[in-house]
Amino acid sequence: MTVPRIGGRLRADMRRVLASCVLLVSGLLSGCVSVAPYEREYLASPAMNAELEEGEGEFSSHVFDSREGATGGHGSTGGGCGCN
Amino acid sequence: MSRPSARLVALPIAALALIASIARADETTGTWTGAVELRGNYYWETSTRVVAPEVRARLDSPEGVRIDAGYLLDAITSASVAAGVQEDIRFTEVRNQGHLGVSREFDLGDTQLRLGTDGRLSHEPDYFATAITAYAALSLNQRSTILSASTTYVHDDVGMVLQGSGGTREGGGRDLSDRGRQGQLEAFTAVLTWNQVLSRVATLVTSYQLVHNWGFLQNPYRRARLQGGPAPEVHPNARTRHTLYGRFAYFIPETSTALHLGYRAYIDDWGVGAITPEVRIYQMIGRSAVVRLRWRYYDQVESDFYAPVYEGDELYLTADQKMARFSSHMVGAQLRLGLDFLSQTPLSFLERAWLDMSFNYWFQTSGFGNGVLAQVGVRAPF
Repeated sequence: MTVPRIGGRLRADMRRVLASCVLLVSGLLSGCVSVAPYEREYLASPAMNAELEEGEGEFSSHVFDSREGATGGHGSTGGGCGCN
Repeated sequence: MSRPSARLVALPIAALALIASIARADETTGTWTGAVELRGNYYWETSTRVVAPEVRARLDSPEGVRIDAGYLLDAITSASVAAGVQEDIRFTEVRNQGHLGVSREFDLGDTQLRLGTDGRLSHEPDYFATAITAYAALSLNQRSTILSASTTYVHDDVGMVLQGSGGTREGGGRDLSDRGRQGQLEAFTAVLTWNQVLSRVATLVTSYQLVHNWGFLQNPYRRARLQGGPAPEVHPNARTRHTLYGRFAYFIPETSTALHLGYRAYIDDWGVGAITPEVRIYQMIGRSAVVRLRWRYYDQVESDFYAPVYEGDELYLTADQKMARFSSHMVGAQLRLGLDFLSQTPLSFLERAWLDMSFNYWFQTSGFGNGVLAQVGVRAPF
């Protein structure tokens, strides 16, 4: 069975995302945002605290790495078990 | 009870004892803080089932020293070709994984610098993996900005245990003492991460990751389909991978709802490209419960050398489903519950702990089929 390639569209998508990220990052750098610790009540909420999900995320990443061609974005390195 | 089963039971009991003892120690000394986490992981798909209990701990000293440690037991029941069989029989193999990390934060006045290292070992009958990581994190603007960089070196010994080799070991199970070394896989990874507080209700994390793999990159068990019959996989002996990742989080105070938007873009020099958008919605229920809904989409294009059937004169051959074109949707829900209601009970050492339970269903168009990912965890700070 012949599978149609859509690599061109995906790669163009990725280039647009990369350009958007560079713009966003540049904007942030110029802004030098600073929020004092006493202003972080909402950021301390369990709904915003990503550290609470570290343990859960590590095993999920391991499963994704063993079933998907992509890797990374959350600490995985490619390798580490025979499930590759 | 077989050894893997005994360990599956013993691990949670040992971790609970550890939580209790550390909580008591903290009451007397008042010096160290940290957290202990006990987690049960479960993954299921048509040909594979994984049960993986784990325990992890974090200790922080008043001087800024942090120690992270963890142990995971991976019990994999499989009938897949990738796991080393050519016929439809089920067997269980065990992977042991441990890690230990140490870091220290240096106060530089307006900024803080954390330097650390982490080592990881993973052992299974036909695979032994080692990894060492060094990292630095610089906190600026009252920790509103955290810039971090890490580098990891991975060295894996890849083996192959042939079906029927070695016979049966004493006490049952396959004798896997001869690991049949096939080669070694190496990896160098560099990650740059920017964690930024945008406002009182919004944060943004962005990262770039470079991975270079080299060495034995195929799976010794898989057989590619040739017109003349099956043949061992032949992959290129090097692979360079680029990943760009971002996660934006926004809290709505009026409804105590948080929205997390994630996006990952991936590309490598084997021709694989993938995008992974993800949406998570968190709803606080009172002060001690959070419900999370999640949708994750994954779409990838196939590698340059992937083909369902080969003619026989190709340079590279693969039977890896991860090299094919496919997409997937994962939907899931999680309940996270604060255990403060235990404060007046004999389990009061868990009153600051959180319990989480999640269930995710994975719709995949790949050859692996649909799957279930479920987890239960308790995280107890002290």
